[in-house]
Amino acid sequence: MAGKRKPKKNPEEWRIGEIRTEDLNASRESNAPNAPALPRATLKLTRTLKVINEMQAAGVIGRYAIGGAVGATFYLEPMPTMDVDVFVAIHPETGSSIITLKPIYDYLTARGYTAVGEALKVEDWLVQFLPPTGALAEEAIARARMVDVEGVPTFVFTAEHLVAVALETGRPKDKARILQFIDAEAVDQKALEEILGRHQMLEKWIRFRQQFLNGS
Amino acid sequence: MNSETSKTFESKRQTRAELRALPFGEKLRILERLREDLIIGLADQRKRGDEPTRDSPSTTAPLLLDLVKETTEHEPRHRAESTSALKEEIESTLADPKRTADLVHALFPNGVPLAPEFFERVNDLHLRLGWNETSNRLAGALLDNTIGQLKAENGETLLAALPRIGSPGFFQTLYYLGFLLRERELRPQFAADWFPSLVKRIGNDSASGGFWKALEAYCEFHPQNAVEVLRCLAATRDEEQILVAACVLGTLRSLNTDSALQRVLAPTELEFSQAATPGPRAVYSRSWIHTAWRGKLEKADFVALTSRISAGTKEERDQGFGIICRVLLSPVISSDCFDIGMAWLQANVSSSLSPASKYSVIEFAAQVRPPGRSDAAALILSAQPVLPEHKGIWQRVEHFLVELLQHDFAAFTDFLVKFARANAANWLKVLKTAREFEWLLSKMRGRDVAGAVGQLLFDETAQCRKLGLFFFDDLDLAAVPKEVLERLDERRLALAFYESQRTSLHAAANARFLIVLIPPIERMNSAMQGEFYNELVLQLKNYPGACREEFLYRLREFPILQKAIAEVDAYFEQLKTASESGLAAMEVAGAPQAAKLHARRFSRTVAKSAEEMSVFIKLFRKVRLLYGKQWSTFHDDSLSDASSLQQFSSSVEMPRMEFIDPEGMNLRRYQASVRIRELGNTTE
Repeated sequence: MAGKRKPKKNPEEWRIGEIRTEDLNASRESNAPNAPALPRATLKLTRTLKVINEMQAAGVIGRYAIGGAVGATFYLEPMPTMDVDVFVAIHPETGSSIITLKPIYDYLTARGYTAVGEALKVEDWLVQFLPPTGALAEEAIARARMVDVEGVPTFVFTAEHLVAVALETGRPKDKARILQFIDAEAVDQKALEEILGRHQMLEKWIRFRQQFLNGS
Repeated sequence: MNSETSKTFESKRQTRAELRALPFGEKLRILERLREDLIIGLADQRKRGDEPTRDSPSTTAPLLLDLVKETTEHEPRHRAESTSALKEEIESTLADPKRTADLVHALFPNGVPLAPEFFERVNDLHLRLGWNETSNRLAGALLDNTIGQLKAENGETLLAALPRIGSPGFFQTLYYLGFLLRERELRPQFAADWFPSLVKRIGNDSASGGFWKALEAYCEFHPQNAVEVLRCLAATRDEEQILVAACVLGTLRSLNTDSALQRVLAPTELEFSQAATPGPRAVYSRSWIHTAWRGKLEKADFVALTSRISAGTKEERDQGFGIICRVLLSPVISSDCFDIGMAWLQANVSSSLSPASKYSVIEFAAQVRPPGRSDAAALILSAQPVLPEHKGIWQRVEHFLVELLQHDFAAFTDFLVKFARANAANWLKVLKTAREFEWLLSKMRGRDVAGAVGQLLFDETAQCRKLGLFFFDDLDLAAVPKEVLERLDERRLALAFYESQRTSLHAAANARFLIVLIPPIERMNSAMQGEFYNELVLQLKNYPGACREEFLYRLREFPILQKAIAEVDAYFEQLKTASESGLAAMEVAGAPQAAKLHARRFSRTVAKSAEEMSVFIKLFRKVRLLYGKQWSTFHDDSLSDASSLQQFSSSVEMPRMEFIDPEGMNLRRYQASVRIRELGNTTE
């Protein structure tokens, strides 16, 4: 007895997973150069930066600049980090000689942002506000370059100041970052040595080079 | 350094140089992705309790590409090998948009179709990868990357194809939709049409969690755009649009203190709140459910909401019960708000509520835990009666009763009696429906519910008595507590006795109930005792098997049973003599054939009813053997060993008197009803 014959497939029909010509054509057209795509999500960091700029406008902080891994990302490839380091110029409160982050905490906690460890969670990012600990950091803030992050103006340490601050801090990860800057040739050696000279760090720099760069 | 190492080193150097050359914004985007992966990765490790892995991800993805190839070539799915290596490949692909784009090209070598087939192919790959968080993220990244490559209107065309996918693929897509919605903004007008179309496609399916989470993520990541979507839905009337707009408004309202956003949102919220048409007003009211579930409902807001619902139209009040109940079910609601909501329900729940409102209230009440359970029980009682056809509500009632039975037995027995008095007739109808309340009845068996059932057996109302007899029969009860019997007056006792006469019970249950009545009947007048004795005799004639067996078991305790058995034994002896006489040997022409046909028809009716009622019979296919007494199965090209047929049977005793004297038995039931009426039972 003959087996049950399978019904003939209508040529107009097509299997799941096969692709229709008209859809392909539409897709090819869509890949034309300069075709605007659906807009991408806003960078979460821009919301954080907006809040910091508002703080500056309100006089809670003075000039500020981004350092650390986020600052280094401006010059190097992206590197993972959990927080953003913001160096801020803070002046002692009237009648006191102590520099404190209290005004920043007061301003942000009043707006619903919360402290997480040593940082504050501003919008989606953990922000560490760092007052300058010496002349080098003060200079780094003063000479920070202004950059535009998707329409939001902000300030980032120069590459040379990032290297100098990293050398001053001297943790293993800071040393690794210095090597990344040198490897990427992202630093103006002459400008760096001028900065290090101004802040009596040339000897430290020579030792670093001897240790990691074969004294070159 | 050998040449291979040197090549790898050079390749890495080149990749780093390319990454350095990206615009700052683009680099920050990657950094944010790395940061999220880092957080998710750490959370995963914490869950597993593993040591952090220090291996760097492989630069190639051979396993992933193999799976993509299998997908494009429609090969059968099999379990993915080396899941940890595959996971590593996925992670490194996710970290690099260029590699994700390469994967899209590999998956669609002939171009991306702007049709459901795109999702079907991604879903196929998704299943090959295994259903987990990592594969969800990859499927989402593929969708996001594809949309990023398409022209805006074609991206929308592709997304518009999503509701046209068949199940279960559509619901699979919802699991990774959130990834796209976090990454990409949609044109507000498109989003205002697209989101409701997805809700419509979801329908009543409960697997909609992925969609609502994705929509909330969209509001969190693109709040300004979400406000625009909300404005597009300002004149909403469709249920799906209302649901979407309520979710968007409720989520946006709960976002953290972005004052700029709240300034933009406030006028839109006001517009919804004060709209002339019911649709936008419903959006406003329902949006508080989402706000509450996100833990941002304030006491003052909730008071305003309850006042608004109280002052609303009848339809709004009906919907209000659903809103208040959903708000109260929020796991993060404050105790203040809970008390406010509970007080509102206590003041407003009544028997006149619509079935939908009753469902909301009882569903909520069934989920309330102590110390609010007694209030919840009161709410259920206030919402009675519930009609038998509203099966969903009855399921919630059953859920509540089982919870109560398992956690607070005293409260259970108390509620059982109160609930029976509130809605006995409808409950009995539901209980008598096949497979309804099986869960509760199975839990009640073996528990000491005789006290509560006893109260129902001797209740003033006929429906409660019938319900009591149902429980007595179904739960195989054999006694009623002494304190219940001692409190009985003659009237209540007579009512229960006559109720049993006109109610159909199983033979053994009938016998056990009559035995329960013996001690109190012995305190009654002689007329009643005579009637009771006649009933014992009648039931012994009616059910000479089970009834006699039960009576024999308690013979020593009650001499009246011995007397009745002796009388009936004599009756059957006489009957035997009569049946053996020559007169009985005479046959009416056609009578044996008629009896045979009747028996066959009766057997068929019983078999059909058994099939309808039995869960087990429904599980198996019925196969009729044409000949032979053995059977075997043919499966995977082989014939199994022959099995013999097994015989098993069960039997049930039929009431004899119903066949011998149906008119007499009907008359007896009628007389029982007359007696009950005479006893002044006004609730007949």
